[in-house]
Amino acid sequence: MSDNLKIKLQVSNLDFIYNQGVSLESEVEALQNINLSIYENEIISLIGPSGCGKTTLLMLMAGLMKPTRGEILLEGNRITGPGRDRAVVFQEDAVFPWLTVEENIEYGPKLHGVDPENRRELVKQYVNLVGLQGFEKRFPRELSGGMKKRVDLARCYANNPDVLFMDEPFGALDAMTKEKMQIDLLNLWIKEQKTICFVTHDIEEAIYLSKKVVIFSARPGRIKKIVDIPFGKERLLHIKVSPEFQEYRKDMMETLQAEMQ
Amino acid sequence: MEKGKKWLSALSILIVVAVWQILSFFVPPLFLPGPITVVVESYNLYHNILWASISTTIFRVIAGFFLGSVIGIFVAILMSWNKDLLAFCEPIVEILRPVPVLALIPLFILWFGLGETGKILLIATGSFVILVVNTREAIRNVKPVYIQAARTLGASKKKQIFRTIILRAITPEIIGGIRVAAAASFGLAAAAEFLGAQQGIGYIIIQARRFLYTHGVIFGILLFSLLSWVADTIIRKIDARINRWTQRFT
Repeated sequence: MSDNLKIKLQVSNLDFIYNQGVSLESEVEALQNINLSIYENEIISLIGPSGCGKTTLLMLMAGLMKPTRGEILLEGNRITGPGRDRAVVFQEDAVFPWLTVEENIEYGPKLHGVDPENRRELVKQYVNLVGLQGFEKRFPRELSGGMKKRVDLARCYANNPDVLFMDEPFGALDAMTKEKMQIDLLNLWIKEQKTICFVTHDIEEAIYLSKKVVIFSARPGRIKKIVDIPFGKERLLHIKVSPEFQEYRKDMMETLQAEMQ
Repeated sequence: MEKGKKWLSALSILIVVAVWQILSFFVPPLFLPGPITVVVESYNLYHNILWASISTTIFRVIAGFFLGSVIGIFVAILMSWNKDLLAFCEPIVEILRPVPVLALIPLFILWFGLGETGKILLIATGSFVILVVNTREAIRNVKPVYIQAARTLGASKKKQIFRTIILRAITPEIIGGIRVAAAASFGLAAAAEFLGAQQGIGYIIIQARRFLYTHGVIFGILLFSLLSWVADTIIRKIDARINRWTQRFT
């Protein structure tokens, strides 16, 4: 089905053990024999019971941790560490509080040597895309949780990464803000396509946003099932109550609950 | 401070001064001269050396404070740079830290005599110890997620991370250390001036004590307080400008 699409990120034979070599008792096998292909401009989500290693896998793909075994290839090249080609929106609030909204957004480009004129254009473009017009000169302490997440998103996008990773990005937000952020993320992706891989606990969120949902087993984390979501790019809000959507949701809940036993 | 509360603060000071004045009527002037006596008599006695004394003390404090603070912050950054530098610097810092700086005065007089050098170095030592510990802790408390975020945004070199993230994140905590070091610097200046000086506010206090002019002693104390308060206010104003971004919860 995705043969004509390019593979952006390839995870092969990946294991991860926490505390390896520290002592036999403290070793924790977090991930076991993970093989995953992420295609270009695809939104893919990772879901599974707590402690199944999905966040660990995200950190490994982002290069913030090194696998115990196996390799991760970005467009055929082995990744060896973090880099601007793989941006991350963390669960925690990672927007730099000492910089204004626009200074945060231009952080990556500035580091990369982009001149002020182009930086200003970039900032304007992404401030508009995430809907933060008028807040450019504000500090994060003056913003709500949802607004800070938008700054984080804009900051990542402005850096033009190959892949965008998100670790339960909307987990800390209230239900209404979360729904708005989901719609906005989808709209952002429609306007500027990117390969996105995110971790979530929310089955509905996974089905709503992604093309594929990867379901993990309980620890040690293995890929249990990959579900293709056939809904089109333009997903309106009321799709969440459609019977097809609920079918997918029911199936996934059953699969996950089986893992929690 | 809230607008309406300023009069409360002024009131409490007024009450203190009034109680002081009243008490002084019942106590011999050797022990407690009244506030008016303190200001008037001392001014008459010392007004021609007043400016020189104040500027001498201020010069020592500023020189020692800046020398010690800058070196302290620098050493803390060194210690946070890599494990080798940490292993090298830590023992020296840990040995210096518990030493009561006042106890170094006789040693410094022996080594540097009674001139400016010894006093400035004493004050610098005090500021150094405060700032090196304060800065190191501040650096260790930087949220790891900021560094991870910076890395995924393209900050690959340690120097970039230090310059754009760590040094920016620690400024609120550093100001705390600076305020403490500034206050301590005045204290060390006073001690150094007590034990051997020809000029300065501490010198005024010692001279007054020799002649049993308690009003002069209190006058010197008030001068120190005033200078310390001015210094702290300046630091707080700078803090308000640099750290506009900070979220303070109370």
